[in-house]
Amino acid sequence: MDLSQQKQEFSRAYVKAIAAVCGYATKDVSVDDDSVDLSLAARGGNGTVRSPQLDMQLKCTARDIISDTTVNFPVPIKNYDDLRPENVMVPRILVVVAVPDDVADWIYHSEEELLVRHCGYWFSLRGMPSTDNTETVTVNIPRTQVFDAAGVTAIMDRVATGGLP
Amino acid sequence: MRARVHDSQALEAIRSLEVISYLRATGWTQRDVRPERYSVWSRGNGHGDYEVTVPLSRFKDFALRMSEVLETLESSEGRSQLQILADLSISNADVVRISSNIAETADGTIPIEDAVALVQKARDAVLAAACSAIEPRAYFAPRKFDQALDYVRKVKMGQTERGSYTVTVVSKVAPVLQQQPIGELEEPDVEEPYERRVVRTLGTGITTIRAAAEVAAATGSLESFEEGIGSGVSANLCNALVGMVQDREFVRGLEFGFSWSRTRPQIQQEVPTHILISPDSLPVIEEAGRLLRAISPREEFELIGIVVKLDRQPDERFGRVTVLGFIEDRTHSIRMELAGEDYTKAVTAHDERKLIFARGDLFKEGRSYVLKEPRGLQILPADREIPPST
Repeated sequence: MDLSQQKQEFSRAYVKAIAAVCGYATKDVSVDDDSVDLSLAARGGNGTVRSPQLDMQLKCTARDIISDTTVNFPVPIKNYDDLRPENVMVPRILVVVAVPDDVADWIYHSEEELLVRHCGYWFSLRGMPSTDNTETVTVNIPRTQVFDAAGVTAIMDRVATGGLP
Repeated sequence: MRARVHDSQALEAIRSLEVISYLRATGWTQRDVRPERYSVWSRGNGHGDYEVTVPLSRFKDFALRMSEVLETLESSEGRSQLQILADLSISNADVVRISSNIAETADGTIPIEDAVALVQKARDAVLAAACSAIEPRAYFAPRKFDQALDYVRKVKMGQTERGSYTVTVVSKVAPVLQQQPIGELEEPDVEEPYERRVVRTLGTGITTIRAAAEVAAATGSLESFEEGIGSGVSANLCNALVGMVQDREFVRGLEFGFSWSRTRPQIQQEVPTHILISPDSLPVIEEAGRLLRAISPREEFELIGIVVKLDRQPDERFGRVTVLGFIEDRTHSIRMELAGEDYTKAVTAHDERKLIFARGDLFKEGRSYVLKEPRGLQILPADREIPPST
């Protein structure tokens, strides 16, 4: 497994752990649609999807992206354009998981605790303008938008009542 | 492992309203609807509560959402997504599956000539039923009812199915609008839509033909076919069935399967789900078709022939004229009644041994023919060759 695959799997594990704590199921996307990596939803009969639901694009980076109040992540233009549209039935967000440089530091494990480094942040690009950039668009995610149990529960509550993340 | 649908193009092609019709027909309840956005449906069964959210607009994630709808239906029904997808697209249609059980179809192929005949005659059978549904007759002339022709243009052919080579005829029919609770289904107060009557007539017609062929084989009488005209039996339908089979040696039988739109369930079970016509009935059906055609009037029949008998009493306005003419390449005596100038023309033609022409409705009465309401009578020029009489 190369480093980028490791990052991908790590971010999925992070999101799944948070989802489990919130009582939501995660679902791999089976359609040939690469703008959504994972979908978060309530669990219906036999493990099927039911509302509320949230689609996610996952990114994992070891770069230094944290500033005083924001997390500044360069979103590849393809993902940027996939995450902007407003004509989606299920809202979609970007989840950026920041990890240490050295893979050995990603997890600290003892009998007492499992420490996962560092942190995930979420951001909705819905309705953002089109761009002439050809490579990336840097988004400034408020550092308050942490992808933790409280954050996810609040997002899902908003979505459940017809609101946006 | 069941087949699943991952192809976004196939998923994009699903129509929301067909999904909704399907859900309504299979016991799901609409729990919430956001017009032009989505509608939420739920159904409980032994494994918990199922929910599907159907997109009502062409969202960017339409395919993704439809894949989830299919996954949930697969899980709640225990059927493959491919089967569900096939049913979805025809949930608001009546479907007739026609297969000629030929030996060659074991590898899924049949001679191309047989395939052409099967499709062509499937269309003819549907057209015959479409005519019978308007007005039952023993035979329908080449000029058919406009309504029947319009209907046939709208009928679709589905994918052929493997196994025995099967042609599927798909006839869309409007859904029932008011929901009747299951178990309290009563006869509808209003007449069924024409589309449904056609498919039902096709079903009752074929069922009647199958039974009539058995009776006719035993009694040697056409009566059972004639009595079935009201149920959709016609010379055209008989000919269509016979024509579906090219080589009777290799055919185990003609099989018809009927399934009804889920959104307009069939209330009276007049038509069985499966009808099998055995190959030994086919010669009887063929003969019945020929006879039904012979006894039925032919509209706009064009008679050309030679006057062989004239009979008008001095006090009569109409005279009886017998013409020796051709019906399907065979000479027959055909009677008609003419008055005034037309009768005079017949006398002149007789004197000068010239051919006459008349158009009218040709009826068979006993062993002879009568041309009723003759019109456009004319003496043909002398250079018209008199057809050889036998």
